[in-house]
Amino acid sequence: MSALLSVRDLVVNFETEDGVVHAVEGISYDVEAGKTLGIVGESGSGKTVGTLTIMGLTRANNTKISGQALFDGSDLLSASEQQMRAIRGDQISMIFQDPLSSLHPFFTIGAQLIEAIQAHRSVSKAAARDRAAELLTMVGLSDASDRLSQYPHEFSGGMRQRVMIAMALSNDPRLLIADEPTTALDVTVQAQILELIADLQRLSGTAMIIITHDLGVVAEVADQIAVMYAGRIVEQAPVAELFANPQHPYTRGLLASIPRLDRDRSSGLEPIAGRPPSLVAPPTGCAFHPRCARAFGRCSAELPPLEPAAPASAHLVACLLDPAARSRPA
Amino acid sequence: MSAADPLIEVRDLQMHFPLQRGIIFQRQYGAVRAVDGVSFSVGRGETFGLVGESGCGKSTTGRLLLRLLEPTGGQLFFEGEEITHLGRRQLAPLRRDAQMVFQDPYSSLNPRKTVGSIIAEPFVIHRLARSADERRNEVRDLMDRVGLNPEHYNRYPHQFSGGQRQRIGVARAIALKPKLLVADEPVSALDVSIQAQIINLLADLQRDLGLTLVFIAHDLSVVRHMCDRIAVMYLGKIVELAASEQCFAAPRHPYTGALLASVPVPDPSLRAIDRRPALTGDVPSPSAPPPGCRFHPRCGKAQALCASDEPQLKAQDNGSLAACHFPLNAAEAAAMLPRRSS
Repeated sequence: MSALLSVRDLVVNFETEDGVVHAVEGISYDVEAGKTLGIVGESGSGKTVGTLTIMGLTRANNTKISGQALFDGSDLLSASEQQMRAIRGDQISMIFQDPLSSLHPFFTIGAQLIEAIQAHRSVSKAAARDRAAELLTMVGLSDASDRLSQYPHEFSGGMRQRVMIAMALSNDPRLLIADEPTTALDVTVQAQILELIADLQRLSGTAMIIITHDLGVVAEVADQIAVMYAGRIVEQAPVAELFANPQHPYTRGLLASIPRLDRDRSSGLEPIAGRPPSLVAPPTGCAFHPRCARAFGRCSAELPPLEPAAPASAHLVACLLDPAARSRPA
Repeated sequence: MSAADPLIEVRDLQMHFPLQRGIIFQRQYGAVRAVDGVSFSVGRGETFGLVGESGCGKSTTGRLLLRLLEPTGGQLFFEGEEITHLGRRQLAPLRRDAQMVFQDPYSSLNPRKTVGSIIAEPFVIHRLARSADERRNEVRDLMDRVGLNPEHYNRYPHQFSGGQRQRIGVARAIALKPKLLVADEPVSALDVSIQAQIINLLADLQRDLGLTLVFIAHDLSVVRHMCDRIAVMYLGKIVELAASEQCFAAPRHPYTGALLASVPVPDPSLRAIDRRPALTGDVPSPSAPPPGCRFHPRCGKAQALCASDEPQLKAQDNGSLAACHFPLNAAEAAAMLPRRSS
């Protein structure tokens, strides 16, 4: 099956006064129709910049972009701004972290939804309004036709995020990009939103990229997971495989450093020493080596390629350690 | 359930923020009942957790404990002495003995001051370690204690990462060897790999300095890891008060159960979607809380009684305190937990 979105060797550099920021350093992944890719990483790992670039939202004079992002066979990176406008909100749409700042405070929810629909479909305002009400009902808001004349401040955080989801789905996109969609929400509301996204995706067959720092959230919704560190994918695997058999020392470190409700209370957490590297002057070799307890001579000199963890495995890992040595305690 | 040797004790504490209308002729038309009658005590050397969703009153409770706010009702005791309505001057000793670590390590440090002078400020304010040399030595010890390089004494906050800044905030808080430390979401602004460093630091300091720690957080896994006892808050009330393990292994209040059922855990075989009876709706406004049990509009077990009679905290079969007319039984609780049934 060919992928709906196929990203190849994506590189994004920003030229700034402080030097060149190597935000994304050559990432490749595929998103299949109807499937969910989870991209996990900490601040500055390039997880957001990578997807914003695919959407054509990082284009500026000081940005250097290379690589390919084939959406249904055509390259989004070389598409004109006009072509991208036609694609954004129609074929590909996005949900952002903060639903309050993503909605315009001066316009009613209805006006904003109708605008999103009419931007891509030549339908009458009445038809767009009906569609908007239908979308609000679909995302679980009651009294949808009354809600259309309300303003964003009249909605709670969870309701606003539902509106954002409704807007993102208004034109039946083929790919939905959700950037930390539940980070600003309370845990019980987060659970509702994750469930809603999963349900809607099952119904519509939309492919999804979910970007998050929360390993619990990706375990919940993703089919495939890519772990990013300092602009590169360091590990990529189907969700069950990644959590059952994490290979990269960074992934293992992340899992060991969070307290877990599904395990017995541990006596101590094992933090990852140090802190995420500068993207202006990233470490040589493997970017994780200065923080890695298992680093050896080659790690500071050679860049590890992203390779199958075992022959013909779908589990990819970028680490120079001997596969047998990775799972042994340091 | 009260602590044996309480450092702080809270009785029916209330904090109602008035809602006013009008510019010249102001009149009060209501109140945000941020904290609406909570009672608990925290023992010396104990780590006490306050958990709940936004707007439940956990941060306001933390600020009341430090008397950064004056309660509108109830009583507050520190080392057996009532401090509920003490004035600024009378509070001076408390200001030494009780300190706070804030959530945001970016806005809680003055960007124009060096780290050395930020950490030295408590000594200046309380007229301790008077000579500059003495202060510098104290500050260097503190920086070393929290895992910062003492040579970075003259640097400014922007030269440090988020995790290091949080260490600066912790150093400032422990400078005067306080008895009580209130940490309000101390790790939620930090990256995942850094959170564990700060959690371990707080746990080490708590043990080594015999601190009493009140740990406020929305992240249940972090609270479980840190705390001996936990109070779960909902709309200004404590709905469950229990030993940490009790609370997480056998919740009795349906809200605690729902919170636990909502937490996504990093194990795809335990997907919450397959586990939870989803909690519907949002937290109601604290200015107009529902009558009776405040959780009843969202509760799966609610009955007519819940809408009329407010339940009080009472002892449950497992020793926890829960404010519920129809608490969860062991089987219901087990079904909500993000754990593999063994």
